[in-house]
Amino acid sequence: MSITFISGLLTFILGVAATIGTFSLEVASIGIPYAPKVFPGVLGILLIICSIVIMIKEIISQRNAETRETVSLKSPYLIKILLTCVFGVIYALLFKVIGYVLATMFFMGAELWLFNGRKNWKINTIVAVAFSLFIYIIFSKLLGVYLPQTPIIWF
Amino acid sequence: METFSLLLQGLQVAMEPMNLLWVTVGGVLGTIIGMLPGLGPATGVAILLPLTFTMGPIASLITMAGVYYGAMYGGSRASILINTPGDGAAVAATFDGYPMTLNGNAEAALAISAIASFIGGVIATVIMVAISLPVAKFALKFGSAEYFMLFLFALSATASMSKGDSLKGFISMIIGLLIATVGIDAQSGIKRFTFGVLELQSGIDFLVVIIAVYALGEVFKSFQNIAEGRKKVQKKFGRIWITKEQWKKTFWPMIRSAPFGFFIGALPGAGGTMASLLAYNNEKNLSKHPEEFGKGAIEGVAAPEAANNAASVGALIPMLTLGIPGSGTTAVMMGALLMLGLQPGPMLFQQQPTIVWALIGSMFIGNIILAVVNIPLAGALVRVLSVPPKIMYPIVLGLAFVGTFAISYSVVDFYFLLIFGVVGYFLSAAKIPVTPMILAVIVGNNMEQSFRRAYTISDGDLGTFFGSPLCIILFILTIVSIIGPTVREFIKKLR
Repeated sequence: MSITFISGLLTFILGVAATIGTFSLEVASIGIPYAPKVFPGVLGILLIICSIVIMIKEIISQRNAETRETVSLKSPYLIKILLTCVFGVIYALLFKVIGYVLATMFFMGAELWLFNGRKNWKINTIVAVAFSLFIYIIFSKLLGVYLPQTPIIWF
Repeated sequence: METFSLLLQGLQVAMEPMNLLWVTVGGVLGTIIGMLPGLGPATGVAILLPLTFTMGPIASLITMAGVYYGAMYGGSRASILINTPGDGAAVAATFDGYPMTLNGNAEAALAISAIASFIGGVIATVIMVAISLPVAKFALKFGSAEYFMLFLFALSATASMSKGDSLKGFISMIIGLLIATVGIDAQSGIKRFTFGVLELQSGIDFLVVIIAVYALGEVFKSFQNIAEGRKKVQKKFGRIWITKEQWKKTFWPMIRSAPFGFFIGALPGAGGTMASLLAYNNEKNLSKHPEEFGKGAIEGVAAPEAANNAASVGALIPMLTLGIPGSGTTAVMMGALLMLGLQPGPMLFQQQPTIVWALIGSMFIGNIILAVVNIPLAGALVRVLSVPPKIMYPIVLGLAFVGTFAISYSVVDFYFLLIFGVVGYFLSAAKIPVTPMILAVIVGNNMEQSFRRAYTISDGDLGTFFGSPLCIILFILTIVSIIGPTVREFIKKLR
């Protein structure tokens, strides 16, 4: 399957979900009862139409094309995207527990490891530590934006 | 006369020492971000937005404007020196800018790009001063139905003019509008698409979507092409300036391209990329020696750069006077305004004249400061280009997260950030343009509210959307913008 077809399929599913979701909404107790449904309902139906057209167009063009474009889900950068998401979730879980500076050092360290490799761990560590402290000082101390503090340690 | 005195007041506010400092800081930071490959003004404004959260509205807007212009200047620096445009609008600068660098003329290329950007920016700001009040006054006549039709036109024009398949542009737009419907409905109090999640009741913050798509999406894309290696950057420069002869060659192209760029920029959906490419082609057609274009013709740098900066000012017109952003970056700027509690639109000029005119005033000042910063300091600034992207991208990620946290101090937004980052990545992988989605997320709420107001006032009669001549004109424009690309394709096939 080509990526265009897959995206058409996914938007089709989204369109169906939005349309069904819209019909199951409560009716408004004030004003026109079905008014909150009109806008998302129309959008859902439009999305279904657009995605069907795009899938049909894609099937026709694939039939005419000599080489078929396919996607592989095993490419190395998809794993990196997935890892970034995992790190992001861990970051979110740690953020308020261990404070901004420590959580960010971990997150930046992990991301730098992904981008820059394990061999450059010295540079990675310097950047991770410097970034977290620098941002903390700029935001929390100079700009007065609240960032969670690390327990016991002074910031 | 009214305009003139308002402008003077605005200039006065913009010249206050703190505001001067902020526009300079914003400009320099914007220049640095703009220079990074793949990161343009939209990303720059998105990730630097949290820096302004604790400032007052005027300082915040002035800083953002500085970032916006700075990123435009910076984008062309990377185009000229390493042939990697920061964003679409800087693509035209690679055509002749990079050949100039290869020919050993990097100094002149850098200088003319800054000078052209400055001239383009200043001419466009003058036009903006002249037309913004009349446009805002005209827009006051719009009722809810007219507004809805205007939103419809602006969004469909953006969707159909986006690169590639216009159908994909519409899909992107509809997804954006659907995202905007999530949360408690303002008019009836009904929860829509919240799936029982408490955090979804107040809706998905458009700033999170913006940061996700522009910062995370770009970082995810970079995983794919980061292995391509880095080009060597020229770090030693002679005097960054142009000769008298080069000035003579470029003067008219710059003067011509600026107003042209402004009007293209003011059209919904067109923006800097189209303005700079069209200006480049114009100059090539007008030139007595078109064969030099692409081989390092200095006019080929001057014209698109002037048009590009002028377009960035032009794009602010529909955003400020009508509340309709014409491009990704102005959408982000509008996000900044909304966050400050300011609703862009005709009323803004009446209710907050100080803020609007300080912003316009700061455009003049900002352009001067950026030209000053970019010409003598170009040599120092381009050193950023030698910081490996492998280190810059994690930093962009770090900034995206801290920025997201600063929006509502909630880590739940991190999950939305990741989700929409992945969505943004897959949209661009499937060649679905993201700009219509971003625009729709930002104006979606207002669009639905104007629809609902008109619908309720007319007691459910859809005829109200065709009830005035203005509505009918906007409807016709919408239809033209939707079928335009198909008709064009059809005519092409016939030939």
